Amino acid sequence: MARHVIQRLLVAIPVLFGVLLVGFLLMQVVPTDPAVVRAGPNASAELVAQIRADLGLDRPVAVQFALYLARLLQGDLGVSIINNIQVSRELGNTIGPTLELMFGALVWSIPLGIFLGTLAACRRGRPIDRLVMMASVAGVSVPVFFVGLVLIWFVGFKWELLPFTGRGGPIWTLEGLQTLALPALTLGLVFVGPVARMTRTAVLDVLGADHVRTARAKGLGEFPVVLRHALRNALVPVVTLIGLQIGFLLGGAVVTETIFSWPGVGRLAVGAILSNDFPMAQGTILVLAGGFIVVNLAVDLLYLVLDPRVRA
Amino acid sequence: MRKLLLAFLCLAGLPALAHAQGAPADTLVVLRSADSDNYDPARSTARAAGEVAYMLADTLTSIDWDMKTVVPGLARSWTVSPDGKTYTFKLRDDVTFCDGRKMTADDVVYSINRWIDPATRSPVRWRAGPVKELRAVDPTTVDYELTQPFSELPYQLALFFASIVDRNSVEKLGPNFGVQGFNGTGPFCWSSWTPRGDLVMTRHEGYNWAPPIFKNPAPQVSKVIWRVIPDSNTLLAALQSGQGDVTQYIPYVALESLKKNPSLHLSNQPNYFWDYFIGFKVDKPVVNDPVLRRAMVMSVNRAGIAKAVFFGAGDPANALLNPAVKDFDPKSKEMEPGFDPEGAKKLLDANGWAAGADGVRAKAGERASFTLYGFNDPISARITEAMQADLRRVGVELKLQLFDATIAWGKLATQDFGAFLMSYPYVSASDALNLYFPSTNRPTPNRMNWNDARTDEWLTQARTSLDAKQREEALASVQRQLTEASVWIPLVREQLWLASSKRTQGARAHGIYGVGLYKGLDITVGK
Repeated sequence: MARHVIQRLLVAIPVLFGVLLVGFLLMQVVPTDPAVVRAGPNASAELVAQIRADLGLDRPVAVQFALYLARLLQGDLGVSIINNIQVSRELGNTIGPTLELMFGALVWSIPLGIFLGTLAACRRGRPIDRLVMMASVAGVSVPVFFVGLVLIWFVGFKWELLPFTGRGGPIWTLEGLQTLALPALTLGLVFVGPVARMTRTAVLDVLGADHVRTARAKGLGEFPVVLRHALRNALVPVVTLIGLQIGFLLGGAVVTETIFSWPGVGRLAVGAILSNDFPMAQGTILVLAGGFIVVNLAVDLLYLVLDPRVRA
Repeated sequence: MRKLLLAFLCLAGLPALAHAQGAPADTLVVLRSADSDNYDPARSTARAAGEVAYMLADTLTSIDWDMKTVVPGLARSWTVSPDGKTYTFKLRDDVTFCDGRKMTADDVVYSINRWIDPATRSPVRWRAGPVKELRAVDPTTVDYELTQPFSELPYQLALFFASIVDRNSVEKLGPNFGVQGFNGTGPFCWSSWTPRGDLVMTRHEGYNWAPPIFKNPAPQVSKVIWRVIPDSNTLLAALQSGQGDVTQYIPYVALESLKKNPSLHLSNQPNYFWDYFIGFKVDKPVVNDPVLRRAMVMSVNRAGIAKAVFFGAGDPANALLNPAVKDFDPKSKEMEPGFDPEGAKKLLDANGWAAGADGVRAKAGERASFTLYGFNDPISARITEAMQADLRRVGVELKLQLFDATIAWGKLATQDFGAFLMSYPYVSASDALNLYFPSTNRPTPNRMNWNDARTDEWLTQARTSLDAKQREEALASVQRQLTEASVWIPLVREQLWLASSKRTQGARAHGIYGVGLYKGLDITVGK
């Protein structure tokens, strides 16, 4: 088990390096000059050149990347070239809200997706099955921003049930919960569909297996058969999908955070990329990629728990 | 499974129990679409920085609602020496910074010197004039000595770049001044800032030295929250549902419907100077031909653009500058050609611009075709597309290249284009003309490459003249010359509207440097 974990962690290092390199090169390809951005309109060429030299942007790209990596190894993510704030400080301030948002979205959407998928599988071919599948297709197809705007319009604006601007506080406060509700509902809605569809397929596969037939032959009720014998075995592909979908959920979080003015890493990333704030953009890429790697590692480890054959 | 279902239902039901809450009482929530990179008035030129700086700090002078009259600010009064080179400012003696320290002439000298110091790298330090020396004569007197007269000085010192700040705070925070803290004499004090999120400020207790244009010299709310909501739909919904109190960031398309909304109050500033224009590079083929430029001015349907692109929230520009601005020349308005595409065709025909097989005119082997640079935002895109169609009708081909805002400024500093679209704020005719047209300001901000000895002479006269009449005449000459040469196509004058919620009273649009709320005084919020 420990060896497996160490192996996975070692594999993550080149992946992380690759992400950093690609992210760095992408920022170089963008034809924006951060010195011009910082200097502002009507600045003279001399002023722009001075700022470029101050920021080290006049050095070769390879040197800039090497210096960045050297600082990173010392735990220094640098400072924003736009507002001079420590990148680690900004990330520290924004990771919490993003994790809250992810948690708020997943805590209800995963159970609901699994429940609906199982229900559809157990009622295969019946109206409830078709209804669940139609809803899940709609959930997959509708873009996050549209769901967000519809919820803002009805729940926030028309019915005035919930606030929809910013974060009211930590998740354990009433204000925090109120402001989290709509963004979490928006982000979670796009998650329910894929989970329901995958659960349905996996449960249907398992329901036809010999051990389920045996369990029924022994006289077990339908509920224990589904819960203990079918669902647990069907969870391996569902967990894989959840792992992958959480990665995509990070992308959805960027949009959701922008619509709801949620002060998370996604919104920070958008702002940093748009203003060509290299250190800040690199920092957010590092966090988002790191999150993706950690989730995948967790999924791998969960396999060990769910499927004893993987341990062999 | 049953427990899981129960847990889900509980979680799903929880938010429904909660009712949306508006902004807290005695707190003004200002909504806006963008944040600034920092709030150091000497280092930022962004409107978003000005919005906050005007509330956190004060300037020596202020500008009245008519946007023409200079009124006292931190300076009770000022005099000018007979040679026009020395301004003596008499300061108020009752002003304190947010930390309680009394403001003196030393603070004024320090703040202005810091602004114009090349090390500060302010791109707008020219606005301070040709400074020779600033002297603190006594705690309430400052001598502002120039190398040559600068009649614009009282206006320029009202802009937020000239804010008076606390030296101790600047030196303590270094580059983080305006990022992690701020100590000014404004009606509100810095509390906290989450970039791209909320900037919170609290009432400056004891503040009562507001410019005389306000009814109440002291702030009427205890807290102001500047909240960034990038999505315009969310911003409007937040305002209408009471989650925000006031905004000037109203999408043009929504203005008419907001006017009809009984739960909102809208305030308009008729003397608002923020114009859209097309500038031509006058030394670049084919736009170096003044006849072609004039024909283009006649071809563009400015009223149509104001209606279709701005949905009536902009006025067609019928002169080089806004007729309400100080030192505007009415004659230049008469000289500005109106919309006359048939007249444009005749003018081009008469001057040898013959239509080619593809419908594009040509003269001496050169096609009437050029590239326009601009910003890739919805407004600029729609303006330029409308112009493209208008110009095509008279046989001129316009090729568009629009760039993201982070790239555009760099592109606009090049010589690779024939024309450009831009919008800009200004406080007076002299301010606008002295920014864009001195030959020494080439290639930016004089992107037209306008290089004319007479213009330079008139602009120098306007800057240095001690006589108002003489200055007015010099500026009139420039306006007439530029209108005759069709260096710009003045397009649309943006309108400033401030929308406030029902619980907000007293919000009035000001508009200095594009800032709607100015000091934020006279505003009260109910429950």
